[in-house]
Amino acid sequence: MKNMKTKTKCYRHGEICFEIIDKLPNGLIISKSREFLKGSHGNSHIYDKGEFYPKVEGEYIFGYFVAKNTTLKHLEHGDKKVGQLKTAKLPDNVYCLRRAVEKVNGELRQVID
Amino acid sequence: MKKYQGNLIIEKNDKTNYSDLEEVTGDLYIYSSVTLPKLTSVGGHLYISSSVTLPKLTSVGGDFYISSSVTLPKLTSVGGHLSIYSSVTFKAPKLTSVGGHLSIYSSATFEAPKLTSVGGDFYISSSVTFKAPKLTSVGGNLSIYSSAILPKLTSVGGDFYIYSKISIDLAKRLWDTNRKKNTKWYICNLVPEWLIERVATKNNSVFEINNVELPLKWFNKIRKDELTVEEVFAIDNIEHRRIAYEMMDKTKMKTLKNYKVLDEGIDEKGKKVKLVSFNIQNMKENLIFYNCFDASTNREYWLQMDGTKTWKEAKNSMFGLKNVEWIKEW
Repeated sequence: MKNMKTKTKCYRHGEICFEIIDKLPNGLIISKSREFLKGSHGNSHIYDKGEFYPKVEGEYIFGYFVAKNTTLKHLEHGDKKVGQLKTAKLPDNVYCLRRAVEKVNGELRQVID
Repeated sequence: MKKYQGNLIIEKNDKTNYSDLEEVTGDLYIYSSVTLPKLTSVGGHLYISSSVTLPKLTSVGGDFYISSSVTLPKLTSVGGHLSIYSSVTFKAPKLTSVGGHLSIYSSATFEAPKLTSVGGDFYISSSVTFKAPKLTSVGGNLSIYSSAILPKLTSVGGDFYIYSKISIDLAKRLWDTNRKKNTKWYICNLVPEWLIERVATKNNSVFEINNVELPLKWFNKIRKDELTVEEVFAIDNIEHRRIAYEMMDKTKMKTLKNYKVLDEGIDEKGKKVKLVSFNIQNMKENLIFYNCFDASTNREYWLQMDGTKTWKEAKNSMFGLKNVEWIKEW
């Protein structure tokens, strides 16, 4: 079993990646906002239940999230439309939140959809 | 029960005989198939979500929400907002005015041959069949997302959101009547060139192609396909790049130097993806782009992922990861 690689398990919601992790890092401060990110066209990635801990670490990680009966909401990303927004059920887990980034001539550029 | 004081809710399986009901002073909610042969007025809001026959209804004082097809031969006015939801057919041959907003959502049919005024905003979604040949004024914003024929509309009190083809006649009428007002114009590439040229003279105008807002200079270059393929791939904003690629003559791709497909396959959602490289302006290194499709919208994107060798590596490294099991994507 030596050298066996374990795959990182992830969910993707547009330009956000929800990477499953074992536990939260120490020293986080919970957010009162229900919004993870806002795209360049004003389309917010929002959630209804759960705990969002914003924390920027490098170019990719922008926070952590504990999902508990969580529904993600966005104008375009989701399984079904409820009112004006599409919804997606995110399973209960602890997640590291990552944002999509382009690699341009050795530099990183944030993707905003 | 000729006059019902307060709010009345007609639930599913309601067996009450409402044949004498003439007036409801408050709100009326209809969730059950029912005939109200004598009802003439509702003082508050009216919600219709089941098949209903209302042969004598003449006025609704408050808002009117309709999610089931209905014909209202006597209705003349709605005091509040009138909202007609998806796939509903609404016919009101005597309706002349809507005091609040008039909103008609996708695939609905609206026929009101005598309607002349809407006091609030006017909104029609895509795929709406709209027939109101006498509508002359809208008090609030005008939002058109469907090919609407509005042969008499001249006065609009609010801003203009025109995201559908409209006739040159309507364009000229709206511009000539309203151009001096302090209102804002939001237009797309589908409106007549005549209107684009004029709206471009207003400083605060907003221009869109396929729901993506663009600066005027880019709006014009992209819609006229005046960009070279190198210029398209050099656009920083990925949504602008996506739209520019969508509008671009794809034969221009053949002009890219050293174009090569490095890797291709089918992604977790069953969509064709590839990793390509090409050279621009004799740069030392080739550029590498990951060509993929959004899981929810199916939009085609080109994301620059220099240094990657496979499409899977490009997709994972976009999030700073290497070996990923994508459980679900939206």
